Amino acid sequence: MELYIDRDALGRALGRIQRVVEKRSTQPVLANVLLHAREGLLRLTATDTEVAYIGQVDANVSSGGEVAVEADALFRIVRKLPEPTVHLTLDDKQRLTITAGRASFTLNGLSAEEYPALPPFEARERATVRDGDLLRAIEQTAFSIATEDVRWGINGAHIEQVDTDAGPRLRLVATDRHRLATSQIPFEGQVAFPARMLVPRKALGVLQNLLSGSDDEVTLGFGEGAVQVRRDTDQFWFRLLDGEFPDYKAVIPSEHSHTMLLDRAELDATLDRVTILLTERARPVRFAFADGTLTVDVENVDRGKVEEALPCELDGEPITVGFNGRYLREVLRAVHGGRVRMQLSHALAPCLVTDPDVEDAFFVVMPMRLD
Amino acid sequence: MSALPLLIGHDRALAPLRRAAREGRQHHALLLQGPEGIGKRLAALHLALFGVCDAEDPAARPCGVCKACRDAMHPEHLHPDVGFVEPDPTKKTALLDVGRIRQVVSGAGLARWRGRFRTWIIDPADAMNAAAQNALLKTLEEPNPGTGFILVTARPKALLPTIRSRCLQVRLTPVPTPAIAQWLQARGVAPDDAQEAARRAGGRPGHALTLSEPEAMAHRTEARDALLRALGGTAGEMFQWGESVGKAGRTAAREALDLVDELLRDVVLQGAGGDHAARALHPDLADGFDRWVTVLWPDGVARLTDTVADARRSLDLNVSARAVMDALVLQVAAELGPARTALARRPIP
Repeated sequence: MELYIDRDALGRALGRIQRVVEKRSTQPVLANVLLHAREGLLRLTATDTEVAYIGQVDANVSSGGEVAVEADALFRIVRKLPEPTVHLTLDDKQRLTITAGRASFTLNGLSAEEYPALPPFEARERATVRDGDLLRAIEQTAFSIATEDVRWGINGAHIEQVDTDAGPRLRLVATDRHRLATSQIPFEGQVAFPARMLVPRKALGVLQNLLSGSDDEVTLGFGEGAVQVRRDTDQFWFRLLDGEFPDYKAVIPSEHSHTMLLDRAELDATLDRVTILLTERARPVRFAFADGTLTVDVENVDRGKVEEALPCELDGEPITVGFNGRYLREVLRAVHGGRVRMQLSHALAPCLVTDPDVEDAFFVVMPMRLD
Repeated sequence: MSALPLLIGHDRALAPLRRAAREGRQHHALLLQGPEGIGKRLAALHLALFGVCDAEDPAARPCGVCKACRDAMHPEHLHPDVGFVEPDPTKKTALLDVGRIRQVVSGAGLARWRGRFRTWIIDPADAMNAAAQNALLKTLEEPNPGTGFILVTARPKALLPTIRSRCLQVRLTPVPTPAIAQWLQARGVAPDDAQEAARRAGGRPGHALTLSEPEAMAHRTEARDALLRALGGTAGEMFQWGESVGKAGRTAAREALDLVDELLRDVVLQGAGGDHAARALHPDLADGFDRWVTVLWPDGVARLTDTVADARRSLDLNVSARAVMDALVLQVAAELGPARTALARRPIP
């Protein structure tokens, strides 16, 4: 193997590996990146067996070949090379020589044979979305993914196609049985796949880090047991969860006898203050909705009490409901607009939370019993 | 040549499991039990390979040469569909705690990597504490389709009844001596050495392989005689022995426990009479050994077997090797009483 390659392009690809692939002490082989040179390209592959990265960097390849070298060491070397053009050569003892200007490193590599084979990926369907849209959908749903629930199916976000008035949308849904978050984004392509499309929490976290919020296009490929995300020449691959997502539509309330409109920032600030007095997170915050005013209070027998009133438009009879303050705040943070609408039919019924001005996301929060 | 793991002597126990695996009807919870060192772990790996091997012909699986087999057999277990759950060798305690099992449970929720069937091998399963075993229960009972567990243990009683009852229990027995000898010869060991090593190995092929090297055999005899001398010596000599084994490390301490187990086994063989004595692991001790048998058979053997098991547990829980050895030698000596000097041969001056 012998090639010339741009230092910064190679450094960028190696940098992605640092952000994607977790290091595991029990499998040191996985700390390597597999380099594969062929006509005009250097392909880089790295994986921790849950997430995989396959990157391509243009290169002037005079002879092809492959080798696995320690990813972290190569990244640190490439970043500090003094010249922008890097010369890579591999000898027959799997030693990779990296030369740029005065600097010349030799890294001891492993035969590509030693590196585990990635599963073949075949996308059954593809959807193209905007980077910023996908980032928004993840931010609006990831917080309500269950943590290590015994029902696998809710330890990830479910992806499906829905038809809305504005046309087909790609919807992300997540729930931990106490609240549910959905967010939908426009896409191009076809995603008529069956139910099992569950992206684990960890994968969403990694993806969130990689997205920049820009208008760039990102392509999602849905395959057997995995989802592939492509942006430019970068390809990421995430293993999906193997489980059934519950029929979430069953918990979305369709009728409401009480509809409240509130200022989102005000309500959030109020909740931030009143929850100071809660010693146990699982205790409810009392919400008394009346026309014109919402009174929020917390009473803790040991500590004391707090009460705040804030303006509220109410359509329906006055009602008193208990909510988990933290859950509701997380939902409020995900509703991006200035106002928030809360709708429910009685004090123990699921409460639908939406942005009255934008229809691309909705949330359901289960109330708590007040005693 | 196939690089399949060495697995000899378990054909009868494994045949139905192999057939089921070849037809894609793996049981989702197997408990492989049997004495240490007879190949339970290799049997588990062998069964797991059926689920990942890329050989086209099902009858040829597992082939041991395709990339999937090689990844799975790699010392770092690189195939995610063949997962090994074992105590972290860099830690001092040989425990599988609830955190480790939760990782497995959440890993078992992921889609398979590329295999037809994914297997988690928990070895040794008795390294799981009660909390870890409870964390596994639900998943063990009803894993995702295409996922299964093989629990490996020499101490099935150390598992919760709720774990055992959820598993298909398969008992592996020590490998017959002729089978081991034959296998050693096939690997180029001289027939006499192969016979001797196979007989001494007590049904453990890997152990026989080690013993077939002349130095190993000599080292073992030397270690045994050091223990016997200490047993017949003063308290000071006993502690000296404990100190030297303790200094040599935990592996040496475990070997010393194996040694006591072997001696107890010989006591049982001779105590039970018949031609069992011909299968003794330490036939060269025959003369003075009678006194051991008189004193220890049968109650002393039972008590000391428990002593050894407790000592093993203590080592796993990071009690100092020296303290464990000190306690061991004192207890064995106390049980032997005056017979403790019977085998204490002095080195030839």
